Amino acid sequence: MKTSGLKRLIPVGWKRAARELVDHMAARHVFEASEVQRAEIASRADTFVSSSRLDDETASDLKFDLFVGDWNSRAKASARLSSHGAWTPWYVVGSLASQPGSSDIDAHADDARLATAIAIAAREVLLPGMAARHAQLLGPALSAIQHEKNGIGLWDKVFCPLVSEFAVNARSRGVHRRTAAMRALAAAVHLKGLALSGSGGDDVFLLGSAAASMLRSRVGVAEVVDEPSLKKLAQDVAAFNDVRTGIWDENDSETSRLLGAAAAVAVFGRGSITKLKPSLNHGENGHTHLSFEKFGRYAHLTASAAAEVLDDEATHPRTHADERSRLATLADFLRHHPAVHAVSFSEALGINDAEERREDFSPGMKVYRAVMAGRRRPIICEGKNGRKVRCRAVASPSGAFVGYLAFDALSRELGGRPIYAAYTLNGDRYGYAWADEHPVIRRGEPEQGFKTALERIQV
Amino acid sequence: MEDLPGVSAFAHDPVRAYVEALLSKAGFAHAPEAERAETVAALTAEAQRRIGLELTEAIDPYSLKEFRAMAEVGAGEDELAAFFDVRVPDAEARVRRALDSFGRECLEHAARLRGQLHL
Repeated sequence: MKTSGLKRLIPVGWKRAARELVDHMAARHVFEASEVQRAEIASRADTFVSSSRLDDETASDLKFDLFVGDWNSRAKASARLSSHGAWTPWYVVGSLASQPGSSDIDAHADDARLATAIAIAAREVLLPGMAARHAQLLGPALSAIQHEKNGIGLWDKVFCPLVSEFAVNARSRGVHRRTAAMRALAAAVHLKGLALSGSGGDDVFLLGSAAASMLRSRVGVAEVVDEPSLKKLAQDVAAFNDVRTGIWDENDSETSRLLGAAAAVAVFGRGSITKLKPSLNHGENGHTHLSFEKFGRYAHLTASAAAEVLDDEATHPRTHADERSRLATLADFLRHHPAVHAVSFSEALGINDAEERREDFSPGMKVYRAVMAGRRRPIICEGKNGRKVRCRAVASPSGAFVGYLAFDALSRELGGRPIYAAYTLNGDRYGYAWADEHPVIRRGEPEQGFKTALERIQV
Repeated sequence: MEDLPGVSAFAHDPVRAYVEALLSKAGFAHAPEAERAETVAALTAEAQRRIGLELTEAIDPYSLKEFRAMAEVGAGEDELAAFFDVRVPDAEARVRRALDSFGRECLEHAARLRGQLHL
């Protein structure tokens, strides 16, 4: 079905509705279509003709913004161009990208535009395979791509054969094959993007444009050398010069690094002289990766114990991949704390403590070191033969305080294995835990097989 | 499948630079300038959308709210890069993954179209 052929069939000065034109063409056997099909063709042709599009000047301005604007302008231009179909011409995409038509149908549509609209509509309605694919694409494939993990596969399966139809549509407008291929390519990715984003707003364009800045080299940031750093360096170097003889024998690695950096600035005129800092991934806002519930649960564990628990969660097979990545990042962040064994999880994150929770020991409970709020000195409990022992608070896997563990010098091993004595929160002896593995509470009396260390090891 | 082009770290807009390289890989390097610019614009906007969709899955609602506030006050690109570093796990890897996936999709479509149109 050639557009040029159709155009010749349109009576000169045609001003009536598309439906009458479709009937006129059907009467001349341009295509064989039932009454219902003719109505559908006319309806689609009307939609194509009246589809809203940006005027050329506005589209040109927006494209200018897209190419030379800042990230915000780029995002806004992308969103506006995309939603108005400025680069998905209706004669390429067909009804799949039909925009809501304007209320009044363009009465001055030229013959070529009208003929093309009818040709596309007729092809979509009368070719059975194509109509079925359109129905699939707007139905099951659309749902699949938006909601199912492997939905993209289903979408591609239905969509790929239609891409060539877009090129055929463009060819019917008389464009070059290469241009037709490029338009079809643009239309294909645009339609898939529309389907993927579903009802998502303009946030995706904003996020996309902003995140693209991460791909840019950050050399520019490193090149900025602030003046106070240089002054401080000059003072440091002057001080070093005074003790020049000792520098090369006694300097530490940081001094060497600073001197090297200064030499690089002097020779190459670029670089920075600053103290090493942890990367931004380990910044002050590490806690933003954690839900409030998890924070409350682990607030009183020591940072090292919390890191261990988070690692366990991260490696759990039922943990979602994104969550796994967040937990691992947070665990890594905690391990970089200079006093990882002494501060609580919440202190390491620099946020207020959550309310303390308490539980009782239970046999087989895995315990983690915890930090009592406001208390730094160890608790004293009564060990074997009434001897005072220093205890450490421990918490259950759910983060609640359960009691204390102590290393009692008078009963420090059982069957040759080192043990901890376990005390409840009120200071009573509860049982023990092996000290050569992660502490797991076991019920038992101190006298049941406890032995003191051998005085002499037989060789 | 042809190799994907690299991402230029020094371009004003790395996404646009990537799309231009992608079009060259797809065999449209010598297309008429106006038509090429039209397609570059279309694909650049689409690539932005794909990156945005990838990040939407990873960013938490609180951070998204904060991001909107930053967008409103016109935060700088370096500030945003730092924001994504901290607030979105593996943000840069996600961006690159989204671009790779988009690039593969474009090259596949282009190869199919070139075959069908005997280019």
